[in-house]
Amino acid sequence: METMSIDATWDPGVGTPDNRSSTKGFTAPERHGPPRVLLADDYEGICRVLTRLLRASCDVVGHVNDGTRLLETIERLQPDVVILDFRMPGINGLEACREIKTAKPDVDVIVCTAADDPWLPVRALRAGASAFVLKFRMGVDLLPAIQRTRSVMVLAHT
Amino acid sequence: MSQVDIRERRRSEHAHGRRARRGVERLLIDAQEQERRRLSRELHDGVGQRLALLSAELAVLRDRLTDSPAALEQVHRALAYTAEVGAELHRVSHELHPAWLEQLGLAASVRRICTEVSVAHRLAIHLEIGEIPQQLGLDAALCLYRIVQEALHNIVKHSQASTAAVRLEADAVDIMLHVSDNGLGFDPALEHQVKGVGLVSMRERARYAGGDLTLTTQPGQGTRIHVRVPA
Repeated sequence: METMSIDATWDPGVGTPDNRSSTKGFTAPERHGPPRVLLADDYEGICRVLTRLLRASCDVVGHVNDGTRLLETIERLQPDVVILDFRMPGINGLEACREIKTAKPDVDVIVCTAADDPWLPVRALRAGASAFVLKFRMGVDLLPAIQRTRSVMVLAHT
Repeated sequence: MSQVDIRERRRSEHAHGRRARRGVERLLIDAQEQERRRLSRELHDGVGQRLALLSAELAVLRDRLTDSPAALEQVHRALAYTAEVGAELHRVSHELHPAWLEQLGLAASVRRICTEVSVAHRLAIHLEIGEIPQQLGLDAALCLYRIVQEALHNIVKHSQASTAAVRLEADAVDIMLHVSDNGLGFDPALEHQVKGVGLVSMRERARYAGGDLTLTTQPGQGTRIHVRVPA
């Protein structure tokens, strides 16, 4: 029998500006230039604002809003990183991640989702994703995720 | 028609009426679950997407505010609030449609809701979970989950309890759920008047899953709910 006592003395308080992220201080690996980023999301508004958010530190090479054209677009635009919305028309996010990693193992995939699925982070990482970001935390977590991904790339290449 | 025939006919009509009421109860519970699922999806797909936009827009603003530390501080705070709203959205959405129940099963979902209620309402909850059969059907799991949810809601809203206990266990035939608190309790004769809606709904849920619910309470002596449904 599992037993557990939950005594809520913890005060979640209000938001504190911990774990701050910023483009400042983030320099892309010199030998590769700024990372080439492809946005895959069927919501145009997200693509537009992410383009503005990332352009100071990344080269946003384009966006795709139809999952069926994803691999073809990757082949054409040669991104280093794909920001992949888990739920896009025409594809299964995990399957798409697997296909990208099979066709282009050097491309990093960062899976984004609004869904509250406890297994999704694990499944995404098993499917080859480099990182997993909850959509409502994009402003805080996306750039550090790209930064971490690219740091690993640099280490792998040195 | 003899008196015996009339009695037989009345008995048959009553039985038919009971079956019809159970049928309506089932339909209502199914309709409620479908509606909750729809609302949950709308929260994710509609509000969730706009929160993502807000979070990203705030980050763009943050990166432009290079010479105003006070404004930068405010934007960082707004980003943190946005993340909190997102987490709250997940919580509400989960309350409406417990996706975790399908993914992780009853024990993990009960653990999660107890933790959430304890943190949100500063209620100490003693939780005991025994071996629950892996093959427990979704209907039974959903029934027990909704009863825990409703019982905790009642405790928080009406009981003024400082502690509660939730116990989930199984024998060879049934799953048993016990939820108790050390709160105000009430006169069980007033069940339908005082806190009727939640309790009626819990009883219907238990019946829907082929089980039953027993309530024990007295003024000043807390409330105990015992549910038994087939595994």
